[in-house]
Amino acid sequence: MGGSVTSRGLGDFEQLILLALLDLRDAEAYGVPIRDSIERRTGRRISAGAVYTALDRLSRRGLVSSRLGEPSAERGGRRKRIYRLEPAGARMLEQSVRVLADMSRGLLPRPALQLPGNSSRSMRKR
Amino acid sequence: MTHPPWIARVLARLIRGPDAEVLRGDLEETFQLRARQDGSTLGTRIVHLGDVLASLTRWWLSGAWRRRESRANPNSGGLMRGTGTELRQLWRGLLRRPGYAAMVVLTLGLGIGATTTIYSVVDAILVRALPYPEASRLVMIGNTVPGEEWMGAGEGLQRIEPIATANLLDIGQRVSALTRPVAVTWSRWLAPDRGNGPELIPVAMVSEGFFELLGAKPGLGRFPTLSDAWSRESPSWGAMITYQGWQRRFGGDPKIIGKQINLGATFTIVGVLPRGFYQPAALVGSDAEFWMVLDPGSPRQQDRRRREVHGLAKLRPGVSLERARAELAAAQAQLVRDEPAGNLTRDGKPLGAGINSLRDATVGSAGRPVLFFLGAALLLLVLAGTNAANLLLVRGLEREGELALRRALGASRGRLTAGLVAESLSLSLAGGVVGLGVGFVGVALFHKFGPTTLPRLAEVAVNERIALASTLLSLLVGLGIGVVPGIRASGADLLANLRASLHVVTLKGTRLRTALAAVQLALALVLGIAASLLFRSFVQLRSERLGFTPANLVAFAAPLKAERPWEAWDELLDAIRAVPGVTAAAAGSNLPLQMPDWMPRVERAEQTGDAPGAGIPGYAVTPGFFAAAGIPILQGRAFDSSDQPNAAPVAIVNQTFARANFGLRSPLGERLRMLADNGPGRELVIVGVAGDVVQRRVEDGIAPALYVPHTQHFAGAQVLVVTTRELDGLAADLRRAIARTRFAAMPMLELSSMEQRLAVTQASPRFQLLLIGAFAGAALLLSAVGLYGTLAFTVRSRVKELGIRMAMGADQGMIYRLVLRQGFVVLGIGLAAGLAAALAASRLLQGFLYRVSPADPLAILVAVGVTAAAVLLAVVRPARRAARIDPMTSIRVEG
Repeated sequence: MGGSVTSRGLGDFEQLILLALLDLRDAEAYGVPIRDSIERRTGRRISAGAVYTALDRLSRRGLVSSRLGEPSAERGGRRKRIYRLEPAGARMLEQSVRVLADMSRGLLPRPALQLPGNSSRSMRKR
Repeated sequence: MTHPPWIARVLARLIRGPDAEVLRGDLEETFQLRARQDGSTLGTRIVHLGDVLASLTRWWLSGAWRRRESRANPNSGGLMRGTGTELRQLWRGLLRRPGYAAMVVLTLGLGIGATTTIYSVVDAILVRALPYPEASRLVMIGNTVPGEEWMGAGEGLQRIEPIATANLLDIGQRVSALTRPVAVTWSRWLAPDRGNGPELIPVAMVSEGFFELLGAKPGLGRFPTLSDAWSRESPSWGAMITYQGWQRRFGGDPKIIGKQINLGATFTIVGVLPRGFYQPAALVGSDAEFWMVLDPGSPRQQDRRRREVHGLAKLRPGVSLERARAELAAAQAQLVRDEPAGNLTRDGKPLGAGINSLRDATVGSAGRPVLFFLGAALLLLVLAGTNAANLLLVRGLEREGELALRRALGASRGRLTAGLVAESLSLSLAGGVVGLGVGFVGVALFHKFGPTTLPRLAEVAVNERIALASTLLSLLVGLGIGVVPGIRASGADLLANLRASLHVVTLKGTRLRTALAAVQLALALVLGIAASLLFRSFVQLRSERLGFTPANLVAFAAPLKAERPWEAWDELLDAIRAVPGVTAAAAGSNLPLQMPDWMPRVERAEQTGDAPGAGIPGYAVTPGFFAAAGIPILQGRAFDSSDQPNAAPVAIVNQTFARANFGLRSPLGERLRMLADNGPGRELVIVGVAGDVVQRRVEDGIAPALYVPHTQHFAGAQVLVVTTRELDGLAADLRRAIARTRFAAMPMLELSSMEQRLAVTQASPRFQLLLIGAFAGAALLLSAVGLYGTLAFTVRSRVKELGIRMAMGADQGMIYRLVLRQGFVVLGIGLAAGLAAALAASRLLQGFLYRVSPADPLAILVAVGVTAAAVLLAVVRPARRAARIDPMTSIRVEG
């Protein structure tokens, strides 16, 4: 689990999480919709635990913030933790996406951000 | 549609800390989402379970739980922090060696899964209380017949027969150990054809207080009371309908109360039972649809000779079943003196009264085979555990160097042992998860292929309790298999181990591993012998002569009512014979492979003295019966058209009857007396001897039997059709043919081929064979793989030694034999121990075997042969590998 918390770039899963927060900027962004957004857009199946550990990492780096939300019946009366993208997180995301776009421009036949999204292996190694 | 509650409870324990509720809430919500999209199916649950496990692993590996917790409470953490790191390292270590981990996990999963499956059955049948409040105090009451008061030996179960309502209430009043009993009975009422053919409707009649006794509340409306009983003034039955009946017949109509439905009788619905109402199968069968009130004051219920009901009552608090039994017996004895007329058997003996707990009455004697299977599953589990222990031992040896190094650097022995035990615990817990999966599959298979006659079969499921038991079991196994290798590895001689890590081999542990391999073989042999014996027994059962020809024979029950039944039957059979593809048709009051329901008491006419107590199977048949069923007439003649109602009464007996009563003499022309309940009975002349035919089941043997012509006794109710056609089309054609006669209202029930019926009677032994066979196969595979692993490891660690031997002049054959010898030592010990254990346990198997001794030499020989062959396969490869060692290379190899 080593490595400096702040200076490191974003992992691709962390990018997905932050993008999902963008996707949900007008809604309550907690675990279920975040996961749903990623699954819907990428077709990748992810576990609730994975979402939380990534969010936990991001919030320790100050890229997202969170507060406890209201309980609701469909959650068996349990509260949610609602996340928000912080300015630092937005900057980091923009930078990271731009690096990827810059690097891939002209190298791939299609627009850069349609990279194959499946790199869960590399993520797991970290 | 909710989160499976046991998952929620497990999660509540596993995920802690301030943010635990957030994750748990997410999982719950996700499940709701899935259930809404895909339905709350088993598939959804399995996907969800996978998700929960993945989430847990992530959550736990990341350490997120600990961080939040320690932030909230800086004093927590501490010792646990180090442990967490250690555990995570351990997991990663295991993941780096997926082959080894997978092997252990799968082996344990198989054993735990088999045990979980069988334990689910044991739990449903023997452990779980019936789902009523204070269920343990509920009892079932009835008459007992003198001399037949008890079921099989030592089971503590009484054989309870129906009782007359008036008698039940009388003894109920005299017994202080019980609450007032209620009377219960059930039957099937015939409803006329409404397009799908006539239907039989299962109905239950219960006296007031029945539902209250079971703690049931109406789902809708109210329970029926005495005023709901049928009467001339209001000719309809006020009835309670089951939830399922309400859905099926009325589409769940919420305004059902007060509606009427005519199904032969008219029912007025006064209430709907709640959805989960559990029918007490011992009292009403498991499918009663309409529930009516039974009026104990009605003339029928007051008639003490009509023994038609069972009693349901509750033991008063603190009263034992034994005391109730004694009080009941005394009360019954008193009642026999007061009311002798309605309390005697046919041959004048006083009836007794018996009582069983409702649960025992429901389960009957099904418990024993289930416990036997549990024993077999536990053997498999022990074997799997031994196998896993062996793998751990090998891994421990491989890691000795690393451990010694850590020890030298200052790690305490306790810490190292704890680490090793933690590894085995993790593996066994993972095995437990796999086992739970195997258990789910096993239970599904059990529902699909298991014997349908098993009581409470529908309740067999892997529930929260079973999941917990299975988890505890895997923890236990983990401790068991981890402690020994753990202590060995951590307590070993430092210096020697350090040396070992740098240099060569050690042969230590070989003896322990050899012993473990032998134990596995012994266990596999025990299961193998059981499977082999069951196989022999099944073959024996299958090869037994049936006495009739089931091929091309189709049968159904036909409750025909007519003024002159024999003429009606001739008309009906003529119509059936006209169906295309039907070559013959006949009828009988009973068919082979059925419980005979007419048991006449018969004696030789010249005999005087005591009447025989028990009846023998009796069959009233049409003339073509013997030819249609393929039953040979050995002497005399079959029935024919000369046997008219007014002609001399005749009979045909089976071979067993003839031999028992007349020895080698011909019975033709001899006279029999068929006793009647009242009056002198009638005389019959024997005109023929038929071949012996299996009565209910092959294993019950063949009793003396009597056949009479349907014209001279009551008519038959079962039809036999000879045809080569498939059942599907045939049923419709038969239905049409019957509809054209004047018996259109008669239902055709239980239509099936005789071959299907034969398969059903043999379903239990077949299932026992399949189950034990599967266990034995798995056991053999596990032990062979285990032995292979042990030998392969030995060879690997002895490479240098073997190389030196070869360099010193040993030839390949010698090395080959050296390894073979080690395998054969294991085989010898395993076989000897296995044989001894199998012979010691053989008595347990006795009740499952048909005409095979539990010490049957052939069966044992086959099992030993198969085991030895598997051992040979496992031994040859490592031996050959050893023989091919190149001495030069091997000596240069670094440890």
